[in-house]
Amino acid sequence: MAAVRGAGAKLLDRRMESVLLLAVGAVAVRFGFADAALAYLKPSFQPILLIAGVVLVLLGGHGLLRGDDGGHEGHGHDDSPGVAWLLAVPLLVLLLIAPPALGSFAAGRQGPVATVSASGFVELPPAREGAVDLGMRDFVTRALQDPDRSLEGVPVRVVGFVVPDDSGDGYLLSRFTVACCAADATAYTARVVGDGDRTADTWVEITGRWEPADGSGGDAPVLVADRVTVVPTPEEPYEY
Amino acid sequence: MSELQVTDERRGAGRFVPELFVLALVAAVLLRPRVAGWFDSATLQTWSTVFVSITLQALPFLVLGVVVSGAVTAFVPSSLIARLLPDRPAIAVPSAGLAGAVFPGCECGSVPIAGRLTSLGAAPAAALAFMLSAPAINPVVMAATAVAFPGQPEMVLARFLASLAAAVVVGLLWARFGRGSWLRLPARPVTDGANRWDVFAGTARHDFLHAGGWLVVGAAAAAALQVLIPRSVITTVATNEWLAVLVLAGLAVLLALCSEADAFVAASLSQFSLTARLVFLVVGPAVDIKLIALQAGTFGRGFALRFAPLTFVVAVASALTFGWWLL
Repeated sequence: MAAVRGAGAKLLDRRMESVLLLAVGAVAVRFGFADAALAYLKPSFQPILLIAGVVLVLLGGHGLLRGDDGGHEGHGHDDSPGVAWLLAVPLLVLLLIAPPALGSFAAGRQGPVATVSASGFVELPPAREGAVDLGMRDFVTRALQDPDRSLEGVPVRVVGFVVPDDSGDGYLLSRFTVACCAADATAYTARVVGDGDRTADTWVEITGRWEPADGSGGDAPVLVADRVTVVPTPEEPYEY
Repeated sequence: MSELQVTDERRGAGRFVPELFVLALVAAVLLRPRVAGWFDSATLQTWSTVFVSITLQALPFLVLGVVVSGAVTAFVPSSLIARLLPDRPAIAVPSAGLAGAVFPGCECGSVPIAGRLTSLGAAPAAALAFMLSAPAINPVVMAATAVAFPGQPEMVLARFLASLAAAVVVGLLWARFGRGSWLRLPARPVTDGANRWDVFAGTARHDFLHAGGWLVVGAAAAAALQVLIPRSVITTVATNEWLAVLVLAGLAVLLALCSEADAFVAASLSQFSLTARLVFLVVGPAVDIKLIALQAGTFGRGFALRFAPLTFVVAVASALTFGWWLL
């Protein structure tokens, strides 16, 4: 690490520190507004990111205005951390790769969703055009855990992305629920029958019915599709 | 001597580094349409998504942390800190641990604050106790735990007590057995005669760059592990209680989740016993791969190598004790 700090100290003067802060701050400000941030974070997080970005831009701007060779105030900066260069990595990943929201690859790597303590389900929302709009998490947890079987015989409409499955007929339909950011995403997955195969990561809206399984709890619940529409990726790809 | 080198370097080509860096970023933006096809491996994209998510998520908390550390350095006299945090560890450590209960920060922010407190003269043991307790028992985390475990208030109480006890025990152990030489203190900015706002900005800037670089290391490692370890493998080992405890403790270290989110992940791991999940919640905010990186950056590698195993063992023991008692 000493080598890293030594080499870095030569290349990281006050101006460079300030430029790094400005760059990170600018990206944070931009993601404070952009829908693209929703591939990574939940929407309520954006204002906080925006404020953090403004603070970083102010700190960077202050550093630039205070001159580049430190002058009387440049005392601490002989130990300017070379490790700060690594802050450029997320910037480059964002600019070059611009990774999309988690999709079928990540969903396929998660096991079937664990049963959460069934602490009662609220009443189903009223139907719209003959079917009840449900989130994937709501559909999956009701199908697996609701002692009152509130989904029985109810036409439902869900939106998710396709996860191909070679073990059975049809495909899996999945959507992630996120608590803070995509790092804690949990996939809620159902098996779709009656629609043949579809390409991975296609977003579809499915109107159909839950088919109660015989006993074997824990696995993905079955959704019999009546009508399937391909839809664009939602602005908010995750459920919260 | 290094001051001299810096000056020499700046007279040469090195003086244009900031401009070159900005040019590289602009080039990246312009090149993106051409190189887009190079990065369409699903593994790389998933890693990138998780890596960027952890970084963006931690950023505001890190900024809050360095703003507090800068403000403490610039505007709070050292004598006041010494008075607020008494030298006697038997008093200082528990009060610093309890002080963590009111600081609404994530673990990323509390590391630079603890670093500043020690460089301003606070007893390291007390600063470390605060660093461990602030992200684990603050009101936001307690509320998130209550929401994630509805109808199980004993889980919230057990988490609070186990995390507080772990922070205090680690602090007391450090006070008793720790050596000053294991801890590399962050450089202390000059405060005499300098403009207080310059001190504030300079400290915040320095702490952000330092902690931010290490945060990137931790986020990259955590994202890699998330992409490499399938969750289905983990959930098949829940039947043996001891194995379950060890697996969830290790998982807390490897996944490096934000302390405000880990309760929701723990809630979904319902094949595991409540005690094993309490271990997950107590270990995670105290020691995980991103925190080890941050602490190595702030206090030095020698510190992190001793502190992380100590914290891990104490956190597991504390969680098991309170889990058996309360759950």
